[in-house]
Amino acid sequence: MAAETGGLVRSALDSLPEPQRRVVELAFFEGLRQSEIASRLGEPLGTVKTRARLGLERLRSLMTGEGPAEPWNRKDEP
Amino acid sequence: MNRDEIAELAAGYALGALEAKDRARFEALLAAGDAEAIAALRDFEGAVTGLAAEMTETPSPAVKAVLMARIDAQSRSREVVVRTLSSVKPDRPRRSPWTLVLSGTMAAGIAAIAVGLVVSAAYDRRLTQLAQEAAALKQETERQQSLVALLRDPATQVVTLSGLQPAPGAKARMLWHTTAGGLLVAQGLPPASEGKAYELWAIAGAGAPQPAGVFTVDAKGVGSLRVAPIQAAGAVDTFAVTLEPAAGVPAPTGAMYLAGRL
Repeated sequence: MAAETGGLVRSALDSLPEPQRRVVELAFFEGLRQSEIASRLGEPLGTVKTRARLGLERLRSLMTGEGPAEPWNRKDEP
Repeated sequence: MNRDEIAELAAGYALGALEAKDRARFEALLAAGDAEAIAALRDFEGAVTGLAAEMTETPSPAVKAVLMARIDAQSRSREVVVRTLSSVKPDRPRRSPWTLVLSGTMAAGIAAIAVGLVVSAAYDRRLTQLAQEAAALKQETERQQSLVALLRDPATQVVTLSGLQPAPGAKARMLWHTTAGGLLVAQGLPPASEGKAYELWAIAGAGAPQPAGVFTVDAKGVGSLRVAPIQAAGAVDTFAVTLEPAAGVPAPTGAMYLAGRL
């Protein structure tokens, strides 16, 4: 079960759109601040914030199997 | 502040990626009991704790399957050896012209048994080794199952530990549950020198730091530690990591590398 859960997280992460996955990985695994991520990717800070939000929304949805019930779970990809 | 802004702050907060100004804004919302901020953070922290679990090593199902097949095959082979040995029964010596022949046959049988015993001993050693590997896998599976239970428990809290002067770039996250213990995942720590290890401390209020385990980091500075529940006078509200002798010490003596509060 644990291996399945670990695989589920990795699979969910891999299924994110590349721009969202990069932001989540840079924030969580490399510990960068949002402004540092914006500099690293050459993107506006606002775009980075939106991608972080959408990335986590999608991760949560994939990991729990729940649909987009909350108001912040909209499919407004940047 | 609209919902999107609140959700974006919550996402950045859960990831530990907010700038100081934004972090202060979001913490003010939390302190004010903003329902949308609290709900968004709770949801996003669920996703982030999943990422924390992903950072710990998980045995591959394929590796498990191959090992269990090997154990099964070795067990069958051993059964064949045991059956073969039990079917070899030494004949009683008889007073006849065939005594010499029978004695030779017996000698050959004894030799065969001896060879069989050697083979059996080799299988026993291999089986012991495989049993140890299986026990280690079982232990790892149980550890992972307890981690999943921890992640699924809504009472589990996430604590961010920040790097201090010896390693200001280091950081860690602690998944903490008062009765189930927790999991620390650290990164950016310099590898401990020979004979040294990092030790985690749990502090309840003004009480003395309680040792919560020692861990090391890999070449990339990443390490993790499964933490047992802490027996403290009050609720644990602070975690810290110091560099100590590898065996651990009952009270902190070395430099503090990480610290964070619930």
